[in-house]
Amino acid sequence: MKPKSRRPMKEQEIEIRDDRDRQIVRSIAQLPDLEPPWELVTSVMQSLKPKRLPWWRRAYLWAKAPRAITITPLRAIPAGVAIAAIFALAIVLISPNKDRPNVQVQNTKQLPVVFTLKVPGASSVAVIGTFNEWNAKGFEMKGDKEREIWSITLWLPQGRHEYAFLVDGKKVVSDPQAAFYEEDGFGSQNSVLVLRGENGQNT
Amino acid sequence: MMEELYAQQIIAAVLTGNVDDYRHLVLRYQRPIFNLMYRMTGSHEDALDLAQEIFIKAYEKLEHFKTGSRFFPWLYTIGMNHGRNFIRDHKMEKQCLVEMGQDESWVDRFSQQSQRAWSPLDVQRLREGLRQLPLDYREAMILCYHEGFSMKEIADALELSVSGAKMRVHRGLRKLRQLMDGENYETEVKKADERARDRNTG
Repeated sequence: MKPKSRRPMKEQEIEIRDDRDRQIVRSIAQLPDLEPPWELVTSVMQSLKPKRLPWWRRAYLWAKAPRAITITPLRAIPAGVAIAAIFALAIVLISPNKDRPNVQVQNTKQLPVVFTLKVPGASSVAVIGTFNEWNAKGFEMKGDKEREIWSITLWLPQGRHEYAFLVDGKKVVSDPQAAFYEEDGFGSQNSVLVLRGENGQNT
Repeated sequence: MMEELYAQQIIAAVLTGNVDDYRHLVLRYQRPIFNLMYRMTGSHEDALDLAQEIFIKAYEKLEHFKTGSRFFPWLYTIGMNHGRNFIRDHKMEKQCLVEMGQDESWVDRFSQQSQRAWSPLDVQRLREGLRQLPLDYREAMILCYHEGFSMKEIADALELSVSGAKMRVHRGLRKLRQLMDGENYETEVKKADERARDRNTG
């Protein structure tokens, strides 16, 4: 195979004095080459052994090698759509959105706990403890007035919790069904609940 | 550009273990390398042996080829050095451009290919002139006007500076013309100088 296209002669770089110079230069460009013998390729290829380069060197060469990329309209359209979709998804995920619900993934597993207390003649009962910073608001229990039993179900993280009941908004009562109690330092006892494993504990 | 990209892809494939792909490079460049060796040795058999050795040597050194540069000038440089070593080892005092052009069929082909028909005498003069040129001048001319190398590539292949390569081509052309035209050359040069002077003054 002969080089198909030769770059233009460098008349601009080398002084060409006249037509005779130009004629000689053109003739050199058109000098016919000899055909190489057919056995040249065969004998070269038979003498070669595959290269045994280390893997990192091969990876480096592979990464550094140029590659031809052909783009046709038929290929460009789906590629463009895919790129636009990726951008749109990235914008949706990155941009702040106040309407989006604030979902918090809690690493600590929570378990359902049913608190119950039998109090005759009470008008309100709430559960307070370490899990709500001893604040009764939002933790009011529902009362069955006929049976005089008050109850509430809470989802609490596993671990140790201290708690008590607040009756009629002023009287702190410990849980008579609690397995453990802890002195609160003010002359009363807090009930102690320890949550472990998959099973909720009914107090 | 596409040709060079293709060559670089082949080189990457060869270096990652695909030895068979080297065949494409040999097929692509066997003609100029074989002809270079033929010009240097004047022997068909020596040119074949040397061209084989050059391609094998290039394969062995392929991992040292600088990615992004042109492969052919790199290969040509290996060829030039290999040919020089052969000439030195065999104490060949004079390299020649032989046989090529001695047969009538070559003369006819050359005349047909030339834009302006050359007489057999002109072909004979060009052949003889190139044969008599020193190796480095002849190769500078061939690289520049036949292979289309840039001055930087000629400089690398002949181990010269760029200005040295320009000078080599320029002087090669002057020497070749002197060899071809003999006594007429001096007359022609004087006429050309006079014409140039007239243009500048007029």
